[in-house]
Amino acid sequence: MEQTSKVDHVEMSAMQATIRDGVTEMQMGALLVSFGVVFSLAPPFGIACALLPFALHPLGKLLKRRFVYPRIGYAKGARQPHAVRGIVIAAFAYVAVLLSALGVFSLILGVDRGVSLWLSHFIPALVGVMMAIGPWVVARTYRLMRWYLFAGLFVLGGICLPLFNVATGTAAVALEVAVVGGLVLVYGIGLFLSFLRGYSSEESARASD
Amino acid sequence: MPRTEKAIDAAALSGIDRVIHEPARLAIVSVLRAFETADFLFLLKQTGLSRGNLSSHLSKLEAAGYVDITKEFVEKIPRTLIRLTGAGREAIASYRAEMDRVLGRL
Repeated sequence: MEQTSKVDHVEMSAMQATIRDGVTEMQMGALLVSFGVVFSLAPPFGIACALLPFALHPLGKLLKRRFVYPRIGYAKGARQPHAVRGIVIAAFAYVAVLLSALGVFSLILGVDRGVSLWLSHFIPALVGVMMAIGPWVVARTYRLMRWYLFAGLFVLGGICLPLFNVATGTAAVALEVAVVGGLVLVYGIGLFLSFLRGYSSEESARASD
Repeated sequence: MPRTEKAIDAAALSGIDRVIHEPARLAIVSVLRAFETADFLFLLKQTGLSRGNLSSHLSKLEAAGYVDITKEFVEKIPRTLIRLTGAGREAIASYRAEMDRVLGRL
């Protein structure tokens, strides 16, 4: 048993090594900050941010090719045994929470008022939970605490902003996405710089194949 | 321990794949199992083996048909790509099952 758990440990450690460079965090952070800023300044153009991944993906690949692969090597097609199962479980849990909350509010306040109040005050929380699914799946797949933290920040932001009257409705959504995205971006830049420091150019030149 | 029980344990252990059972090769195969393909440098960093050692173990795994080694050029820089073959994936799966069975008896 111990032997097979060591095999799992080596496998997981190799998988974690591929996202230890902070590039994924930088991509995600940049996307969220852009979305949050554009959505708060000019909401109709927020949808244009859907095109951003197409610009950020080649940029991420360039960073990997230039700085990451020469230092730690290249690995492609990480197996994601928990990803699909995780998404399905998260989606079911999310729908269950939504329906339960909707049901409770409708019961307490009556159908019309309950639904409208629930939507206007809880949109940030709904978006927060929705945004948390991606990081949660990454955290579960790679067993990385920082991605659980990102997921938690989304949920917390969605609940706290309207709760403390910082912002409500779409303004709260934009603020939440921009703030959490900014934190993820800063964390990613820090991680990337520490990764670059951790592998000297001399070492990478010697180790290059 | 009775003599017959010892004989059973020895027989079970003899079924262990010796190509994979060696710790360095087990580490290589474990890393490769997580990916579709990985290059030499990645394996070097993940296993902590020396270049010579890694080359030697990869040759043994290739001879056993467990890995497939190809060379390519990326922006004029040579890159050695290593991939676990179907036989390699089957071998590690049966090795794990065998080890669980053997260790479960202890």
